[in-house]
Amino acid sequence: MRRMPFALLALLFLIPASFSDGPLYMTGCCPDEALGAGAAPDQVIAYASQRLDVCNPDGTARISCVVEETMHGGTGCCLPYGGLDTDGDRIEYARANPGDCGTWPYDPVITPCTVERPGGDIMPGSETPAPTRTPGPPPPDWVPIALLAALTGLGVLMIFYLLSYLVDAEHMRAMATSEMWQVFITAVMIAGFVGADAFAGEVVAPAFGEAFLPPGEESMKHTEYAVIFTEEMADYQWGMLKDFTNKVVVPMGSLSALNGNCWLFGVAFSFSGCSSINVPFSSASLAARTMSVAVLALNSQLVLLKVASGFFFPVLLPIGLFLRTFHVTRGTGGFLIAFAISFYFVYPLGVLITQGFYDSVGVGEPEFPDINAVTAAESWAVETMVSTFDVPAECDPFKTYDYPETDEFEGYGYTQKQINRLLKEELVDRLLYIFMIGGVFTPALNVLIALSVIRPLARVFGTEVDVSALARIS
Amino acid sequence: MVCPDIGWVYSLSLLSLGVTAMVVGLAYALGQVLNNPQFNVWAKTEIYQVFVSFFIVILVLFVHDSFCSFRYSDLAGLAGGGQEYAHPEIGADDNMMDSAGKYLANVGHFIKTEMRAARALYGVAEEASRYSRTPCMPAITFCLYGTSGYSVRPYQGLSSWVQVLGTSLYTDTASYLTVLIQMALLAFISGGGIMAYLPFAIIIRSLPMMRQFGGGLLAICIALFIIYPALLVAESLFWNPYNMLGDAGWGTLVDAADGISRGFQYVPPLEAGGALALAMTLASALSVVDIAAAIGVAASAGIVSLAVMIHGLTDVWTLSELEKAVGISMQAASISFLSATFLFSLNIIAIGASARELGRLLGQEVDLSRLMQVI
Repeated sequence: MRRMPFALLALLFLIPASFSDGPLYMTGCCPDEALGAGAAPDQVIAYASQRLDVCNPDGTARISCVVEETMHGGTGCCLPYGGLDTDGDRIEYARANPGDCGTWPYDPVITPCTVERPGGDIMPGSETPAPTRTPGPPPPDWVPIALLAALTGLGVLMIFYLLSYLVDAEHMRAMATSEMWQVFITAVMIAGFVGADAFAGEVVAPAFGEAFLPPGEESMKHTEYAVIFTEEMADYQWGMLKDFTNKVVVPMGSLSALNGNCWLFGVAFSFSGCSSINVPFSSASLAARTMSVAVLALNSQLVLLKVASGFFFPVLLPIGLFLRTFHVTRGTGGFLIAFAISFYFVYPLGVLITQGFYDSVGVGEPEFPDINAVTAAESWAVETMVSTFDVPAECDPFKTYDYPETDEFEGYGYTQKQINRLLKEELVDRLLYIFMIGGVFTPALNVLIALSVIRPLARVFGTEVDVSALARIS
Repeated sequence: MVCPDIGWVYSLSLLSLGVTAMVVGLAYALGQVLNNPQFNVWAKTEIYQVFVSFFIVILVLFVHDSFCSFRYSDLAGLAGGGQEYAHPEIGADDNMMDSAGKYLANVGHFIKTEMRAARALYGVAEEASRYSRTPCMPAITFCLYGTSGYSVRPYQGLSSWVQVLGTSLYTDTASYLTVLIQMALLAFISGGGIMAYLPFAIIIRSLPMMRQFGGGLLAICIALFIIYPALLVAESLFWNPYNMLGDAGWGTLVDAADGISRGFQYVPPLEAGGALALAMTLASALSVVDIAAAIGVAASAGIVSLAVMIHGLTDVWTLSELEKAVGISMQAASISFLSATFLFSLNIIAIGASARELGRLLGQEVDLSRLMQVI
């Protein structure tokens, strides 16, 4: 996903514009790789190996996007109302044929595929990747609030100045005069922040994420780039976690829980030949838990970015500018300004830069093993009526010795087979990088960078405040 | 959160002013009697500071009273519209104290819903992970000779979700307790009890070598009574955890929270239906053997789980629904942590920094001699 060609990405944004002449109630969530290069509306699509959730926020349109390599067996991306399969045969998808879309064998959920225009017509829509998250209200514009704060400070000083004539207080007049310079400096700061905001959004951020510019948008704020990056990464990791759980943890757990029973006229034997698979299973389970920590960390980063753009900068910066105007509150004002700058500029740019470092390492998609385990959907039909104690899985609990296999894991028993699968570098190395570096290390690094900048900035603006408590929380 | 009646604080402050002025006056008189200039200098300095302290206290009380007068709708207008809350709703006529309390209640409701959802999903995942099937083998024996065969727990792997949800629940519990602490702190502050320190500070600030302590008391009262509620109101105007999660996500979370009694779809409908159809097909033959075979097949296919599933066909968790709900729950856990713990820590740091700065200011002599001369 990280190496998707930007041209392809740009093309898929053009697809809805090429044949749709009106807004679509589209909530499709097909991954970008689901659309092949040059895909026309009725062309079949290459699929990526990633499963996404059904998106249906308002009930008028739905696309289910469960994606695999082929439409026949496994999972398939549901083309809305028509398309061609890999053999060139026409495939009809519609509300009338919901059974064509689905996921098996783990979860044969049938999801219909429909795309409707606002007018109700059904059309072959495009699988425009829509965000899986609600965008939320835009953050308030901080410039008017900051200007208001500066003007308020100026107004208070003018009152003090006039009062100094009233009470004939020379020192009061001198204080008010000197503090008016601070108002001027505050105005210069506001101008500087406006310039920095524009620079960060127009120059720095596009250098990292221009390809992620949504259709119709000419530019975005740097915080919006950082939010999109983080959302994509969080959704990607969540997909990986689900795949790891469904393809590795669940079947491995099922294998380890296989138990054989033999009862005959009061004599009973119990066989747990597969119990040793609990060793790799518990490791896999612990790995899933660690991955969830990474997903939580990324979601927290996402929330923090939105808090920074929606609350820290529009609120704390104007308050800080106002307080900085007066000598007695300069320290507090300086701290608030430093905090707002750190989390509005440094933190999102840090996210973009560390994401660039992360992307610069070309790690492929993790290859999940195909574990043949007994599932709940196992069909124990007529042929099992007269069969022997054959176990339809790659581990037989009745065989209590770790017999060697003759496949690629020749010489290893069934437990070692699972261990080898788990430790395969195409799986574990890539997952480690995706989750430990992308999900744990980089969010922590971003927060630490932002917090470490607060202290020197606060000194510049007037005070030194201990923020180690926040660093401990991070 | 009702604005308390703090008329008694005004009265007590006046009393403190009078008592302190009397003490200073006595010290001045003593200085005159003993012909000690130090007493006189001290008395002249402190009489001004007493009135300064009194003025500061009146200012603090006035600002607090104004908190009870400002309307949330006015502040929301300044903030470009503010945020909408529904658990409970922050009304347009709510004052700042009420708004701050309701904001915390909304955050608490969010976190509690997430906790309930995580708990429900924890239970579903735990239950699913323990589901076990034991077909008789060979089925033709119809289990007449005991349950020989193999048993399997096809969803045992969902125990990993149990651990994940346990981590979420742990985080949510800490967040929820933090919100409850904040609500208790706000209730304590708005109850007005802390205001008792203000008249006390008037006296202490004028005692020898106690000005810094008195100034610190004043600073603490200002930071807690004015800055803390103001920070909460500011957060409520610009930050809404419900908007972060979105309507769809919130709906999923609420469904999960209310779905603690929902079961899990152990046997997918098609598979169960197919097994049942096969059993019925076999049973269409009238011989006893055929019927027995049908029973055996149905038993092998998990007819008990089929019956349970048919009973709850429309109200059971599927694996994909469970995964989606777990994903939403994890997002909500992150939002809860940021809303409750991180922002609260930020508030505490801001209050501490403000109290320190104000304490430095109020712990010094405020030189308004010219203004006092005019008065």
